[in-house]
Amino acid sequence: MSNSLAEQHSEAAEYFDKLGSSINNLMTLTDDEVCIGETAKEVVFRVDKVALYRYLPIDGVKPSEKKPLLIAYSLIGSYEMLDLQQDRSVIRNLLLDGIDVYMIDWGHPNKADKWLSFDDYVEYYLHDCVDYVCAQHDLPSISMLGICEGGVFAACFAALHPDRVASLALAVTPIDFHAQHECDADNSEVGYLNRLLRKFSRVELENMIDAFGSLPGETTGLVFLEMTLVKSLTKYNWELMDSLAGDRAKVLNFLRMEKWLLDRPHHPSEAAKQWLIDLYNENKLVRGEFELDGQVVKLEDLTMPVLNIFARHDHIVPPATSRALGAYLPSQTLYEELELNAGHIGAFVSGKANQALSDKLSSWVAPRGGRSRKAKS
Amino acid sequence: MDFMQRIQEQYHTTLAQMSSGLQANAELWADSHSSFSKFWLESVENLSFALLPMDSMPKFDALMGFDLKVKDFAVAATNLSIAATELQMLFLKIWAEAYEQYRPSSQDSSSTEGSVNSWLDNANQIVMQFQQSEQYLEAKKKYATSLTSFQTAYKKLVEVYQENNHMPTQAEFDDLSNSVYQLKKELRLVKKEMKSLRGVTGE
Repeated sequence: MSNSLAEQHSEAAEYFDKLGSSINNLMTLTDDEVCIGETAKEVVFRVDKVALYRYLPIDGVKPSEKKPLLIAYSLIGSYEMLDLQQDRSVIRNLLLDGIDVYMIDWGHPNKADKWLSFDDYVEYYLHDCVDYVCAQHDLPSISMLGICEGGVFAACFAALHPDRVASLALAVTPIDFHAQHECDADNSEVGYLNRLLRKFSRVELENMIDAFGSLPGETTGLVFLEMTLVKSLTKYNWELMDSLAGDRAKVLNFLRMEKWLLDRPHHPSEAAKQWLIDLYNENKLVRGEFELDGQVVKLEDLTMPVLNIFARHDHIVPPATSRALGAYLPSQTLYEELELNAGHIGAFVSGKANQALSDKLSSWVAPRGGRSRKAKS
Repeated sequence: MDFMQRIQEQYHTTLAQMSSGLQANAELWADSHSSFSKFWLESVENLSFALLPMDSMPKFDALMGFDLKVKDFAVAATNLSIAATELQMLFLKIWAEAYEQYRPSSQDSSSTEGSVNSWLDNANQIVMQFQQSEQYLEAKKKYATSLTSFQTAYKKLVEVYQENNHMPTQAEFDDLSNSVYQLKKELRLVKKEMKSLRGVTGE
């Protein structure tokens, strides 16, 4: 054993320093200082609880000659993950490249919204947002980014309306929910949710969602915590000192993530049934059986350029379930993949991954070019 | 062997003893809980069979089915408790296994922080691997389905209270919200048709 008594004393002293620093930080910081989603934006369109934001251009940045980018986030969690802090904001990076960025905020559904389904989210809310952006810019089509469940929304919309999407980017989006994944010692948590949900029958899952009237945000939060159980158990004790001690900038990073995690909207019941049963359990999307408003979603109709972004250490959406998309696209589709050395959330908030994602995404936004809608008609 | 090394060995021995003691107690607790739960379930079933054999009999109006709902709730709560205990036992088992498999390297034990982090990484890996096992997934499924039954039985009891106190129930609210949802959908279709008609007539 190499550590002497003196070293033990030094460790103890260091621990008490950390404790003092943590308490000091907590006592002096206020919740108002923990700000997320600070990039300036305005609501330009609203329907029911859904709001469409347009981010304001950054002063001095020349607008690009590209189409606007519409971003659809998942119903699980808040869109502000893309703009947690100024120096790691995908939104800000895109604005600095002169891209016109629109974001859909799905709002906070409650029990009155339990009947909302994928059909409504894709063919109604998302469709209306696309119509709005196209009309504002006098364009027949725009570029679209979908994230996680929002990626499934975007893929479905693009497959049903390929003429409205000039280029499509999907990030950490499951497509083949049963795709095989590695299960070695380094990523043993991968695919837990996929495996667990396949244990249930359709009726069992329906009963489960009906019993709660929705997929409560607290429940999805607990499921995510369970996926990395020991890490979750030590987050607020053993690791807490490291998170709260030290300079304020570092502490604020930690608290911003906590603030984002705390905001977990409930998932409407009918949409949750499609997400967990039709997709996770029965894998209908790749089987060509997933229907929205009576139309079958065919992945082979994704004829626009498709960028598929996934994270190597994603324990929520295993990379294999995203990468599978390539096999379902027609051969003429321009298809590219971007693998990030990060996890499901780290892909958007870690310094390196965030920049790599933003740069690639920025290059993927379709050039404005071509004819405007008016010119076309 | 220096002083700190002896202390560390003593520490590991103590932890091993605690771990085996904990496991033995956990098994005892699991057995007792299982026996008690079975006894309780049988009692609830027997009592309801003896006093309220209403599944095959006409219901008593004055009770409005409350009695059966209480019975269902008691059964669901007991089943949930059984499933939760089984899941807890699995966690205790895997936690003990994680300890047994843990072999700290000399590098890990160069500081207290290093030792604890090394132990936690080891436990994390083992717990996550275990979560992929059929045994765990089955236990988790049993817990989730028991929780569903419990929540359903609880909701039914609450609805009895709401009805008796002239309060709207969730089922009534669902009827209402579904009507609004359907109306909105129809309105949306009508608007869409009007828009396309305006396009055709050039208005």
